[in-house]
Amino acid sequence: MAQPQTGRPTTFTATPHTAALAAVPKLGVGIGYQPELQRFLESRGDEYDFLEVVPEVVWNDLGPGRAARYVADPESHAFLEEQRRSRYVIPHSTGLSIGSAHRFDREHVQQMKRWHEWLRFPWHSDHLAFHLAEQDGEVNVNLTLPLPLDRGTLQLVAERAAEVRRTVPTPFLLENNVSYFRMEGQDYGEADFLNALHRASGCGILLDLHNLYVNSRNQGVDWRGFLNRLNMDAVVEVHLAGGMEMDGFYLDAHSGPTPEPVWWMLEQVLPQCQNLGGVTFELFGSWYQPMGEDALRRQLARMRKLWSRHKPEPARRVA
Amino acid sequence: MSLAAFQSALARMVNDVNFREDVRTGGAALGAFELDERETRRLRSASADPGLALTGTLVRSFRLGKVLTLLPMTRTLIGDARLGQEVRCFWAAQPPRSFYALEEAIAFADYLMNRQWANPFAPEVIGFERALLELRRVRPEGEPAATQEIVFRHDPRTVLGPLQAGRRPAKRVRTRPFVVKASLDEHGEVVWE
Repeated sequence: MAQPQTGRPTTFTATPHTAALAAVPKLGVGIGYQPELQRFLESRGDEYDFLEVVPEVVWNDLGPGRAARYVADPESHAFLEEQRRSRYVIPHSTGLSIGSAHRFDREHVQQMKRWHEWLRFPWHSDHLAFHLAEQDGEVNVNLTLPLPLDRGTLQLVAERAAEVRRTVPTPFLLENNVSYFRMEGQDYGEADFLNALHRASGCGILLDLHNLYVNSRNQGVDWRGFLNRLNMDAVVEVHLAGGMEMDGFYLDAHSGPTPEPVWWMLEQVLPQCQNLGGVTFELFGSWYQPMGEDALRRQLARMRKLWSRHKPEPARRVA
Repeated sequence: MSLAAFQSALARMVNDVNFREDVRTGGAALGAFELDERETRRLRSASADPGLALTGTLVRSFRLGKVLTLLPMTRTLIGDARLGQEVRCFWAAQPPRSFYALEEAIAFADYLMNRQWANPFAPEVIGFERALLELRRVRPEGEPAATQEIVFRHDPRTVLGPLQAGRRPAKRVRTRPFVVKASLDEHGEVVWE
């Protein structure tokens, strides 16, 4: 049954899985790639340490079974090629739909393997969610939907995450999801589910603090309890973002600076995550102009300041 | 597999307002899915959650954005009221199949091509924008884009010129058949003949 997610931080025994995660380089401050940010990224290369990229933004997926299924966008591909010479480029995929029960997209996993041969990233990630389902053929909901956090789901996702790890020889992380509605009567709370998934499959955790904040705003999720229960030794990356209000909800819109409560969460989390490789800021490209270059620079500078207070000097990639 | 059925039903509740309403009001819609008792209870509970309705709104906003961006002349010609009516019918008939804007816009253009239009310019404007999208469709390397042929019943300059400037064309445009061919040159630029 779901455990109440409150109380003091839970202690966890180190496992071979956490030992493997300890080997990831401590990179520092990252930013999510969007084509609209390209000029900023080129001119402000000293203000971030690694670049995160959603592969589906820089390739076109022609669909399962096609001989040349993934077609690269030449401009973005060239930009990433340039970036990878001086820093790590780390994929944060939205396309796997690891929790879809009707099929597992092994072609996507093979594509990530090819990307690893190209980019040699020190970890990669996706979402603890699904967006592909059957509805008179296959639908792509275009949004990450929550999985029921039950034993059956755990077994399904753990087997697949382990397969991803066997196929792509670098740590694989799954991100806590954002959801705007409740799923009744689950076997696990989200933190416990992520911990169990880590134990069962060896996958690491991408802790999206803004997602957690969104869920606390909209659904009253106890974020302190979540953080207290989460196995911080499994956390390899943290995400930050900003959001906006709509129809009485607070949205994970990636639309501006990180709100203060999320900064506060980050301050709590940073000293606890021994295996943290980086903290990444996510901003949708269409919100870059409204946010402005100065605000984006302040966001990254604040991230660096916090990182420097708690973490070692960022590891740089040597070309 | 029960989880697969649960996900199908949940995805449909996001995409289909009428289906969600049927579930919320205790209708028989969930009977078509092989669900266990807990899954049924969850879906009924979620159907009444305002957050699920919001999730549907977010998905529809995303889909609408693709259409507005990629079919601008069609939008100007038929107006937002008709466009809104058509996208609702389209969404009711076709759940989202692709993450990519181009695929969604082409599917919507195909749907519009099969609708009845009192506006005499609609078929040719929709056909014109669809042809441009077809040329931009991503293909495996080395696979050429097929030449697109658009049949106009009116002078394309007098129809497309105002639309490109964000205005509707004059109501009276001389009727005369034109066949326009569009292809891509070696640099990927559209060539008209």
